[in-house]
Amino acid sequence: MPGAREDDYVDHPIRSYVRTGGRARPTHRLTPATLLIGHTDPASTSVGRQEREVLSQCLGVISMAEIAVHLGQPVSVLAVIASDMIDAGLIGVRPDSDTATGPSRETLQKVLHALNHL
Amino acid sequence: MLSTTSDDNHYLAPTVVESVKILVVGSFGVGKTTLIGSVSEIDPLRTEETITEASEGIDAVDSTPEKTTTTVAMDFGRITLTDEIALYLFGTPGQRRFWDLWSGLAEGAAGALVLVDTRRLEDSFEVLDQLETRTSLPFVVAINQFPGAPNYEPEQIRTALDLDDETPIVVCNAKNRNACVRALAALVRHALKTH
Repeated sequence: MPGAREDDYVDHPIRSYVRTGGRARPTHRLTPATLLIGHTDPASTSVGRQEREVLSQCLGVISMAEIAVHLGQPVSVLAVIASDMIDAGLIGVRPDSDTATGPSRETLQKVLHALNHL
Repeated sequence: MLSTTSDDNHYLAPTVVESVKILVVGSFGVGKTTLIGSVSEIDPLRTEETITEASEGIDAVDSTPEKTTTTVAMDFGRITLTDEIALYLFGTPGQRRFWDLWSGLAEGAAGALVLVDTRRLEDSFEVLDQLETRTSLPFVVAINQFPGAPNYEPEQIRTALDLDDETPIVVCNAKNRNACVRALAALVRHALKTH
């Protein structure tokens, strides 16, 4: 990846509002715990650099928070970019990830059972 | 690559379709990241968000009285619990001034684990106050027992923190994986009661 460094230093030569085209609000509800998966090979599409960077982090199922950390971006900035990519069909959301209404009773029971057997 | 996790657990299993999140809240230095690291299958990761705040108090966060924006670090980890469910743990300071940051996180959370240091009980007042007045999240108070810290009975803690009779209190060494898992289980059990 051009510009990537081995150390912790991450430069931000581009202001966040440039990356997001001046928009501050995403069109989808994307939280740090939202799970994404890529639908497109990052190498084979004619997408822009930042879309390709996101796609390169979506080769499997992964959370918004993890992608944000790996790309050195705040989740709020990633959410705007990822929203557009969802609309364009480049990435998909696991619909049951971190829903606004919270986990169902059935899910909580599964979580408790799993914790009790860790 | 900027990635610091190994290829083995960079991604969740492709069968994972659901994520559940739990907030780990508590004042600075109370052991949130330690707890997350004890149970997470990945090394705790740190995201940074910029928040706008009124310039009032100054504490451990980089901030000067003139500044109106502050960078807040939020550490998180994850545990794959079943083929289909991943649990995410987010550590957040929980103070009033960070409300904008953690109100979004609170939405949809299964609950909050409130970590408490018995040497600094008063540091927990504001966090508990925020949880009680601004969310309907079920929460459990977990006493992170530091070496040499006063050893109170749970009921003494309940009185000192003015907690409801229903709020569970557990003792938890944040460095001990089993103790942390038990505290998380207590929270989910409590969430099921109030669900």
